[in-house]
Amino acid sequence: MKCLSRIEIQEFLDKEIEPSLMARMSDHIEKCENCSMLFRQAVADKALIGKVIGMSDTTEDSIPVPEFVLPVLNKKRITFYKVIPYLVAASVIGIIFLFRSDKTPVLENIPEAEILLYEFYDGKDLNRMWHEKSQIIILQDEKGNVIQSIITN
Amino acid sequence: MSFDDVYRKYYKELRRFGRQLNISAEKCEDLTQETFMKFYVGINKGVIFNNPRAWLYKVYLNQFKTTCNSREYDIGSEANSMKADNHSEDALEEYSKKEKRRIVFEMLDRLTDKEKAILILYNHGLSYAEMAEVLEINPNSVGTTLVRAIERLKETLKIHYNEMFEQN
Repeated sequence: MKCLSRIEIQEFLDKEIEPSLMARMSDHIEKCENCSMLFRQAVADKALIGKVIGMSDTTEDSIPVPEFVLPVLNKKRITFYKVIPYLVAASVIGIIFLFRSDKTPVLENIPEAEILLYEFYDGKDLNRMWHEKSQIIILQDEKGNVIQSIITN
Repeated sequence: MSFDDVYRKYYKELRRFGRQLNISAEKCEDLTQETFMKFYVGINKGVIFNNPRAWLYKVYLNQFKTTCNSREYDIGSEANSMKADNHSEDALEEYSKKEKRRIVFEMLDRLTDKEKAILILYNHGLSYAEMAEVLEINPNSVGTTLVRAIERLKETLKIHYNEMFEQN
């Protein structure tokens, strides 16, 4: 058997080699000084990793495992991006109302009497009502000259 | 294995993994809960997990990558927050531990994310197949990646932290 690489030694150490090869490799490592040295190095490296990574541990292992909070399944979450189309639509409608041309008359400028009259006639066109119901009386003299014209209601 | 069994078995291990990646305790707790939440949803949808351990580590690591772009280092602040007038033996020992921890993170940060992760996973005792699944690499290249990471770690130790660790 030829000498093993550092990677093969590592795999041998971690028992990640096919079982049929393990015995042959083990024999070789025992006999070969170079491979034996590599193996000892790999063992030391593993211990070093344990030491270094172990130093990054905290003392939080004593903290108990918290209870798992069951999620509410099949409940639709309202996320911000889902609300965006509605916000845009509302903004567009708002802008249209803000800049529209046919604004309703401002009641503040209409005299109070007109408002009352408007309400009294139930919104009907007063001008038209006047034309429909009025009569014109024309007073003439003998010669046919108009003396006076009276419009009645 | 039921959800509860998996939760009880791997909760601390995952939290420890997060802390070793230098995630703050609070964020670590959140990530662990979110990982188990996904696992729970998966089980309810009928997903079959052949290796729950590797799956949990993988999801945890991916969540860490996506949510913790700006890593939350709290080690330094922990060490610095100790009161200056507190010189009792316990306090000094505690301070020393935190300082060592800070140095270890500083050292591990000199490695790539993959190198760091593989060393931690190796320390956690994951098999090569599990490490390949977590890191999403070819199972045949795990040995190579691991040995490279070890060599890089030793090199970093030799250059920057020779006094702290006895070189072998």
